[in-house]
Amino acid sequence: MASDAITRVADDIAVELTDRFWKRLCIFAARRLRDRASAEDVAQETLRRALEALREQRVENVEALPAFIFQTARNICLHYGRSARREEGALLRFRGGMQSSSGDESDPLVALVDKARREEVRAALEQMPEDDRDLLRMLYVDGLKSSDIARRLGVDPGTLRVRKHRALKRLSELIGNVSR
Amino acid sequence: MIGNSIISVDQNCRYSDDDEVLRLYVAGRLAEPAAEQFEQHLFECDRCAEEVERAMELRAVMGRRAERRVFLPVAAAAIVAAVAISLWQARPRETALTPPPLRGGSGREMVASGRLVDGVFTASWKAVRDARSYRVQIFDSIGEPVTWTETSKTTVSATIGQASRSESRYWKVQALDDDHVVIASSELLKIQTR
Repeated sequence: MASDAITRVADDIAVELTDRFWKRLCIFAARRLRDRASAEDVAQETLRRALEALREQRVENVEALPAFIFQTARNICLHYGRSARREEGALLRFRGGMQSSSGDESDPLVALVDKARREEVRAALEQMPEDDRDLLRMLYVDGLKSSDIARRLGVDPGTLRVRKHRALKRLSELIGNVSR
Repeated sequence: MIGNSIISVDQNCRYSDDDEVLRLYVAGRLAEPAAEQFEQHLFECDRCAEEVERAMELRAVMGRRAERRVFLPVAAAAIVAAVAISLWQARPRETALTPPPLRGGSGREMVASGRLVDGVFTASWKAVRDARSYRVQIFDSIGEPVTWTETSKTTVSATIGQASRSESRYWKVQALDDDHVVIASSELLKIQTR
């Protein structure tokens, strides 16, 4: 029975680790490796090592787990069949590519968003008020500075923050993601 | 969020009052080591992680180049200082009118304006020094590119179909040098259709 209980706890931790860190690990790795499949490999290996470390009590303080996972992912990326120089080149290419077009499919973070999710987000956006859509576009697609957006909309920075949070919350609700 | 979590969460997010770092990161324009510092924070902060994820999704949907709608330009070459392009009334053709990607950043800021009169949208902008040509792109309300053109002039006219006049459209212009590199850009501007 005790063994079963330990197994359940370990399973719970594995689920929580995956829920909480999977997407972050993919983002972290995709920026370096510029490849979704490689990023997912890194995420999987990182979570495996983190779980192993927890089971073996090598992570003394659970509060340090995010930092442990970050460092583990960093090390795995560095050794993922690439030299540090190649990784640096990928980062430079990433930045260079992004400057030319915000919607470029060469954007490794955009490539993490699968087709089904895009359709969900698109459907949610179509239900949103136009003002909210405009605001989200200016913030995340056009890359305008907050001060410029506030000036354009004739609001102060505090009001802009409130409007942004309201729009994001509305979007999350519409795509059924608010409880995540 | 996960209740009764074993994992601590950063309750004092230092980026909560200033999201420029987050947005630069998502756009791939945050330099090292700030980008890696932000990533370290991302592993500790659910709020930022969620916003990054949402921003990626918005960029995927609103910034994606059009693949579905394709329009045939109906140039009105007789207009000396303008290039006319039909946006919503032309017939589709097989190859997309998605513009090829450009090199260079946004560059200098361009001064541009547009007006819609009797269904004809006319955009004009101040000439940019060293610019060989200008690329004009038009987008729909969720960021799907609708059409584009390039011209050496400083004005463009576009006919907007009756059915689409109530829909929001946006446009921007970029100045290109001899090597087709972006040297200046306007902001994304709304076409007033109402």
